[in-house]
Amino acid sequence: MITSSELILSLVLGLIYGLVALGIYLSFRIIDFPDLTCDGSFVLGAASASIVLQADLHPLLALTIAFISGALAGAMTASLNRLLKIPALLSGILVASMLYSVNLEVMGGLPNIPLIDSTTIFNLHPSIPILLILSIFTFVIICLLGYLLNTDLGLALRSLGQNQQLAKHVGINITLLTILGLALSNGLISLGGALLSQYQNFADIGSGIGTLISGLAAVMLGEQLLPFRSVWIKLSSCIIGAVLYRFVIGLALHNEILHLETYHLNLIVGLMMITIFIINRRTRRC
Amino acid sequence: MKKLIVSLSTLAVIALALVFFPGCSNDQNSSALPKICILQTANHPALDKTVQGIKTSLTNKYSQQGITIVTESAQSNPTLAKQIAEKFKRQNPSIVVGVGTMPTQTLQATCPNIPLVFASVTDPKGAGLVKEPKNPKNNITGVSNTLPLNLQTKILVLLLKKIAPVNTSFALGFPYDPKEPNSLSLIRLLTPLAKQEGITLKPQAVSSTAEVPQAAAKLSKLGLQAHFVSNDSTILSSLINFTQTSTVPVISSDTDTINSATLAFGPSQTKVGQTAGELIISILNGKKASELDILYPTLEDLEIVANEKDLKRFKITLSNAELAEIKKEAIRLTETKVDSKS
Repeated sequence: MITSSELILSLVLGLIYGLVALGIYLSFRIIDFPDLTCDGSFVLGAASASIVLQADLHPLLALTIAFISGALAGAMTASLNRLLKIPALLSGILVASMLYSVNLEVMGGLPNIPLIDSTTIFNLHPSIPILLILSIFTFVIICLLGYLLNTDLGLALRSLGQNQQLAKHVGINITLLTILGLALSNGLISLGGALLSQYQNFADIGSGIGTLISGLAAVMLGEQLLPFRSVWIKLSSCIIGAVLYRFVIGLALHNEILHLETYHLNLIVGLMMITIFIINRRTRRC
Repeated sequence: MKKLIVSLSTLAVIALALVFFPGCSNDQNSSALPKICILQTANHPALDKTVQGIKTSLTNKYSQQGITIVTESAQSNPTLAKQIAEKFKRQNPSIVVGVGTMPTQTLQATCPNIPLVFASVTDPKGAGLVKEPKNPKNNITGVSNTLPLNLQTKILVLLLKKIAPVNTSFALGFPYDPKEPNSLSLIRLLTPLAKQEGITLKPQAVSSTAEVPQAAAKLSKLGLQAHFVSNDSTILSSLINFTQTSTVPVISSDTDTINSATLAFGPSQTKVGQTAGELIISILNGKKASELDILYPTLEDLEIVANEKDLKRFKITLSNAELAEIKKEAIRLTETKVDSKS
């Protein structure tokens, strides 16, 4: 029932949401900051990239600007928390909800910007398959992130999530590193939003709904399936988790063979995720 | 090393299970019946009525057994819409149908080779779906859900004159959700037209159904004569709540919602759906989608209805004869205006 084109779609969406998973892995796991900014920064990426594209500028510039704007949003959340001492969860919620207005402002008050006539990263060279472009893109990002996390700066970032007290004692500037970590995290999430809007040929103010949930699900699915300490494997497992999550949704969409209604979709996705976790536990034990 | 093998084999097993598990079921594609795949933005009363209208006109023509209709909801999530669209493409439908702007855009991008019919898109050109409403070209056609705007303005003036007979100028509250492309294009187009008739539009953004009572309370403080609610998912979903909180009459542009508003005019969403259904039938009969003009509701589709119970709250009486009079007058005013232009 599920076909090769649907598998490819799951891969494509999985790779795009893989960036979101990487961002969430950076904030929730590496620096251990429960960051809820992502529902806003994802759309911010889509919005800022689409206005750059509408001005007929190069798609790579659009992605760069999306990354920078997302990074600013992340830095904002971190600053609220570290400098103004607003609780972490609330900082994220505040920035995400403020971003809703900002995003509409960026999009010129319109909730939906069509990109049908614009040159996007995917139709820049129509001969190159989308999947290949995204694979290369993801590979480069993982290499850069993996390299970064193994430098002195990266180790300092990781120490933040391991033991903040100790990090403080060895002279690490926690405020600066939290800002940096969240900027990087939200930059990646924003990049995901920019790629999604270019892939779908429109930017929509509603596309941020559920970003956090699908990103977290991807990170945890990856962690369950590949429980290793190596940073490289952890980064890759985020992508694998995201792809698998999209597979599960793609598969659950075929629930009509079980004679279920379409609104049962979320229930089926949830049950399938639970099943994967159970199977994984069982096989690991024996 | 052992751990790595276990992990990799688990991954492989899950991946294989995911790919092959549904493989054993048989595809319903073998039948020669026409297959229509409908994707709607979300489940809410107005869109459900449109979908119902499409289904009614199709089953009237082909009977329940003569046609396969698949309906999915994108739950307002563009990514999910994309996955559903891809699933549709694989099922080889005769026609795909988008109800709402976002699903239509998604279907257009995903299945360019399948005829696409849309319903409930206010501004097909602004949404990038078509270049021109006449002869749409791109294998796409459909039904917009708005009456001509000058007609809407005329009806609003006539209704306002009944609500507040002493006033010469009116203030009209307009609650809308900023994530609705439909509402924004309406504000942009309606504001200048209303101004000419002495109506000031007071838009109020409401981003979720939870904010509706507060918005109604705030709007009521502005000294308005009435509220106008257009085809806006968020507001329509909580219309009853809005009307109950409001201290002035609420005019809705969807006659299906009359039980939760004070007054309503327009084509019913069921009717919009039925018109889209007729477009689908013409395509099934061999017409090309690109040859069919995009349809807008016509003057004949116009209905004006009142909610007696709610009208009493404002001590207004409007008989059916008076409503019919307003309808006739509005049509007359609109037509003479068109004549004088041409």
